[in-house]
Amino acid sequence: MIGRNEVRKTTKRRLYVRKKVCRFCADATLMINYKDTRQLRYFITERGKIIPRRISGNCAKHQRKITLAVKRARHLALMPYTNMEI
Amino acid sequence: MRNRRYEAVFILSSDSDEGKKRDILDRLDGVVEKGGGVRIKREDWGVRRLAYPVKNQLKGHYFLLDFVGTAQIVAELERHMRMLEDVHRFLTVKTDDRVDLEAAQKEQAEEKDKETAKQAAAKQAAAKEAAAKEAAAKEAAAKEAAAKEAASAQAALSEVSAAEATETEEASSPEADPQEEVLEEADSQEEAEEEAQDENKIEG
Repeated sequence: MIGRNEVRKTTKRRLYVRKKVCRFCADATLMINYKDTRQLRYFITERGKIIPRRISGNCAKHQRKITLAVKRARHLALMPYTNMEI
Repeated sequence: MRNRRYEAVFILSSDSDEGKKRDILDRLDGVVEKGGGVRIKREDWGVRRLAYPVKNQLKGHYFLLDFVGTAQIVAELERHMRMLEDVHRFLTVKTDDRVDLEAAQKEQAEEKDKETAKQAAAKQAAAKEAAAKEAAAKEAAAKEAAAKEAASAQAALSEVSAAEATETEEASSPEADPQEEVLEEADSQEEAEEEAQDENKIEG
């Protein structure tokens, strides 16, 4: 019985999750570039991890570009691999 | 051989001196030119804080090299950067797959024009700034001199009044006032200076 309730709860909650639109698809002028760390910062956590697609709402194509850009920026020490201070 | 457009970002050690940096930049330019490529432009991003220490350094001088050339050039460039100890990191990225050398040369010329214009503008700005600074310094000196004069005049006045007070023993408070005023002014000036220093610290 308890299990059933839980399932119901989650399905109910699901209804309120709004579908996110990929911001790069919505605005074609936005470019993804490893040199633009200010913009990339939006797609990493405070610890420096890349935020997954299911949370950021990016489409697969643009998420690939984001991860590539973040990894390039990390190599050039423009962005952190990790940030253990926080 | 196909020509492509690449950009190479690299980090130079922030504590190597200017001459050494210039040598490295010239050498890398030479590598591109020797391989038959066209160096379109070079960007100087300045000394930046690194996101994590590289070779035990927290700062690095970033440069970007924008050029057109073959894959051989890229290989050669990276070989050189690997050999140079002052180059701490580098990354070469292809930005365009199909490029005419002629168009690249045109762009190079344009960039050169821009650079010379920029340098001229910078020189002018520097000259202007220097002139402004000089003027400000002069003004400050003049002000200081005026303040000193005023202070000495007031001091003289107060001395005179003090002398008068001693001469005529009946003299009372009103004539002793000027001295006090001078003191008060000095106090307020000191306070203002302290405040200015504090502000400087915060800005620093």
